[in-house]
Amino acid sequence: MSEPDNLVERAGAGDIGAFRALYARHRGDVARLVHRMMGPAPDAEDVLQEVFFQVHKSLKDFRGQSKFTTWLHRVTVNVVLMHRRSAKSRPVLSEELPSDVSADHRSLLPDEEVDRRLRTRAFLRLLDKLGDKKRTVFVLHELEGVSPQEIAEIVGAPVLTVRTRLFYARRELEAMIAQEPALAALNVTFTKDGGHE
Amino acid sequence: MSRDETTLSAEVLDADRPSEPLRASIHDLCLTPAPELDWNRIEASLTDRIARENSSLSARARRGNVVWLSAAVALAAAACFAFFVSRRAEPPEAPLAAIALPAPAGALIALRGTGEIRVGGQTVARGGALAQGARVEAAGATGVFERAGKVRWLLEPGSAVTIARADAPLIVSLERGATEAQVVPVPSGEAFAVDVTSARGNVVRVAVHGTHLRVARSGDHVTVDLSEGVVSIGAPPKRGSTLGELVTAPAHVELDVDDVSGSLRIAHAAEAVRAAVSLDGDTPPAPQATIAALAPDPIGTSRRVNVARGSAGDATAPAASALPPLCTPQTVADVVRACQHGAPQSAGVTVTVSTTVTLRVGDDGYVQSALFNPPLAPGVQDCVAHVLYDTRKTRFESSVELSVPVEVTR
Repeated sequence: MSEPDNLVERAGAGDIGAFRALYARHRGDVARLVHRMMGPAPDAEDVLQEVFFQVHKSLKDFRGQSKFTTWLHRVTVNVVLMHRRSAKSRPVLSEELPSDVSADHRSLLPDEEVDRRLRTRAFLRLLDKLGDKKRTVFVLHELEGVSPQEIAEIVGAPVLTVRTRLFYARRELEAMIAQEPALAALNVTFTKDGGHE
Repeated sequence: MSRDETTLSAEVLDADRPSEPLRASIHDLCLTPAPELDWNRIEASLTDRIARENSSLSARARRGNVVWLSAAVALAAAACFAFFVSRRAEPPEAPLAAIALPAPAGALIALRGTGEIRVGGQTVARGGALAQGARVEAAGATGVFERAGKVRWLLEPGSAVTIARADAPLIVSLERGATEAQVVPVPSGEAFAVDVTSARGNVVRVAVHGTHLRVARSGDHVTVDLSEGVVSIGAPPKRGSTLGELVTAPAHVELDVDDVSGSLRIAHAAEAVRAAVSLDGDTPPAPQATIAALAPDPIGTSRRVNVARGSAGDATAPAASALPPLCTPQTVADVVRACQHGAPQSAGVTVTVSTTVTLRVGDDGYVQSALFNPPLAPGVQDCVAHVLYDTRKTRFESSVELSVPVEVTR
């Protein structure tokens, strides 16, 4: 996505108003990517702040060789991976129910919605078990819709390597889904319907 | 190299698709929104970090400049010595500082009320110029200043500022009281800013891009009433624009200088915002009916003579050095009734208006904010606000919050 009004150039030149506009425009996308890469982490706000701090620091060096969103994805991925590495000693995903499916709220939601949220939580837990490289490629491609070519730019790897990581990420997740009670129903459903399983 | 890094053939990869269960899980996750985040807190923390980073970079730059500065000082000293030796026989010239005038920060264009405006301790008349570093004090009068085409600002009676920066943007450091400004929008950057420094030395900047606002302080507590435009409130940057909380009008903002992010409160309800004072040469229409209706009230007969307030350079009014007597909730109700009675109304129509006026009074006894619930007609609210916020006429018991229900039928 190109940025109108030369926002990137102006922000890189120190125009704080332009930086704020960039922040306001992209913070939602960055938050979504962070959430998908980290799950419901309690320190997501710290990570977001770090992403935009790094953006502010590095924007002057952005020369437009790639799309701004590609560059922003790269900064976000790097910050998330660094954060995970530094926090490796403590669990990233809490075993407690996230607030959106807490017992208090369960009675307020239709059963199907509760089931979906529980499945999502289980899937995020599986994603967390993937290695960093495979998870990054999987999230960017399957969840964010980024092409392998662009992911190659983001992670600094050949396109074929990216596609290979994606291949193995899918296989590992499929194997884990088959073993995950909260997601096992999906296998049964698709087996009955004549799906993959 | 791990197995995952051994690239597979293009045929294998081209044929690869996620299984249905995996696609279902992806679909579920895509439907899940990111959790709600406290964007204000994130932005405040980000602002603080960037400000600290800027500050740290500046400090490093200053340290790096010391060597160059020392060399420059040595060269300058040598040059001065040579200059002195070569011209010692000639008559002395005016010092450089006297020739290089600082950039003008504007001039006093109107004086409202009975006191005087002092710049650098000296009383000035209309036309008196301001320069960087000047301390401006409003002693019993309201001073209206202008930097032509850029900003017009007033200093309320009892207030004092120092001109912290005279070139663009004009920055005033508010020592006490309140200032109100009408700022011409600029295409980029900031046009005007008000700094407030706490007793502990922390500084908050209210930076203006083009707006009408009033900034008041009571100790280290700051109140900003924004009736037009946008301001940014945060730590003063070493360079560039203020990266702070961006506030859009209408807004009534309160904060403590020593804990901006923790104390910041913003109300966007129009009725929470203090009515803007006209900064034209002419004064705003005085609520004559209001004041006349207050004959027995604390404003007092001697003051009623002067309520025409206002015209610039009003020299006929007596000195207003004494504090006004304390007002009561009844005063507030009387003011509302008087203003409502002064509002235009169709003949033959009876109107009943009910509202509750909630006043917050600062530790100096002057009104800091007035809320009308439900709101009154804008003209009526303006009329009430002009009286309640007038420090010459209205003072309450300090640090109280009053809630005054009023019903008017006419």
